[in-house]
Amino acid sequence: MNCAECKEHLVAYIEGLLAESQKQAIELHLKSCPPCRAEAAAITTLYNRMTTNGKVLAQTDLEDKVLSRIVREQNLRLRKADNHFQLWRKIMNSKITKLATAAAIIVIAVLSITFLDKSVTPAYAIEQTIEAMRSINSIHAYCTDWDNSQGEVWVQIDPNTGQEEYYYADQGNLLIVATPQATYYYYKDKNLVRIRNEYVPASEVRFSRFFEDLVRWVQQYNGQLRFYFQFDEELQQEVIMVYGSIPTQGDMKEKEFIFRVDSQTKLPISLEMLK
Amino acid sequence: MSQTDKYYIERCLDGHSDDFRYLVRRYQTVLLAQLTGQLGSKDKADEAAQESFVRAYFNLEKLKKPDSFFSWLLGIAKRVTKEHQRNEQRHRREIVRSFSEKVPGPELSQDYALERAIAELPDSYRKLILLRYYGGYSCSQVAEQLDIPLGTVTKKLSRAYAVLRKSLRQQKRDENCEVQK
Ligand SMILES: [Zn+2]
Repeated sequence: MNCAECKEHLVAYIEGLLAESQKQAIELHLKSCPPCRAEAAAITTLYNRMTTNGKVLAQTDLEDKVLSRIVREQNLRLRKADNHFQLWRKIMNSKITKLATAAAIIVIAVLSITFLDKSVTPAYAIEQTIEAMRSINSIHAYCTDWDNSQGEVWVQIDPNTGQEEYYYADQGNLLIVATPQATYYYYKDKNLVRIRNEYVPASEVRFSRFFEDLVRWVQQYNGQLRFYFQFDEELQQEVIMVYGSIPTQGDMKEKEFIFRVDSQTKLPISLEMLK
Repeated sequence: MSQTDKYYIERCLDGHSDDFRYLVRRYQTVLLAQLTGQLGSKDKADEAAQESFVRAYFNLEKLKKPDSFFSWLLGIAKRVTKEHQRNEQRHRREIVRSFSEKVPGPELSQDYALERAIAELPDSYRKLILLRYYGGYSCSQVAEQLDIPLGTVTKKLSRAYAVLRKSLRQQKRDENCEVQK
């Protein structure tokens, strides 16, 4: 082996990547060649220097810092996304694919829910959410049905009455836009528009009051309402889980649901129907 | 922690933001090595690295090829570095003219000379060095990550070593000149 060959393989040699025969050839050459030996020593020194430096830098742990910044930023964006809040309705009742109908499901679900537990910890009271929701004037919600179909809706609300004023609902194939004067149905697959000269409500639910309506209904039935604080993996923050259930009422099967409530704004983040 | 970058990226895009933690864990040292060399101090590098990760997170859906997350992240870090440097220059000009331009900051990292030399490497060499010595990758893992043959990895590493040594010698000479003045 000559010096050029030796130098070419020094890094691979130090990295321990050479086959035994090559390795021995290098070692043999190094024994007899002081300049290459010096070269090898220099490379080893640099190798060690980088390895040490890497170890020092690896002591810094950015995970938690980065994640908490992400959470902060995400919350900021969420709040900005719509002036008031985003409601994510994760699962609504089955068979419902159309958002307008899906929204009605809230009523049904609501009707079937009974709960009231007056034990209130100082950190949170149901009334805080009711109060917070009263000032809402728009809602942006994503919905996923039990059949996994998805929809999105934006609703403008009159804060005084809690009644919806305008909405935009995207249900995949069907897009509905409603103004006080008219409601437009756009069937995407047929490229067809239907117009009705009236406001067709998105739902019978008073969007910004459905939480409070729920609580009221719960009082009428013998359901249960509990809440607890929980660290939410998805949002990376503490949320209030408001869990409600209502036993079977006549031909209405038992219902269960969970609201996730933002512990700071006290506004609902999501509603999930469990039964 | 054996899942691919792609797996974690998809988890994040599905709303499991906590899984971003694994990508941070995987690349934080690499990023710090690059940023310390460019920004001079450990604190600044720390801050810039965090910012790069946060930006990466919020732009994940723009990443077309999840397999190239690492290169993409380095690109983001580069932009963050430029912004930081620009801000710093402005800052420096605004305050009094500082005494010596070269002083990078009070808190140097453990081996700033080395980090600086690495930061000055051409992109393709730097990626290799970062992954191998700061990312804890073996040579064959580097080959896989960058999609090049193992032989190319060692060849490039050899050349990178040569460039690094030259640059370290140069830095030493500059220092000595400084002292003599
Ligand atoms: Zn020789």
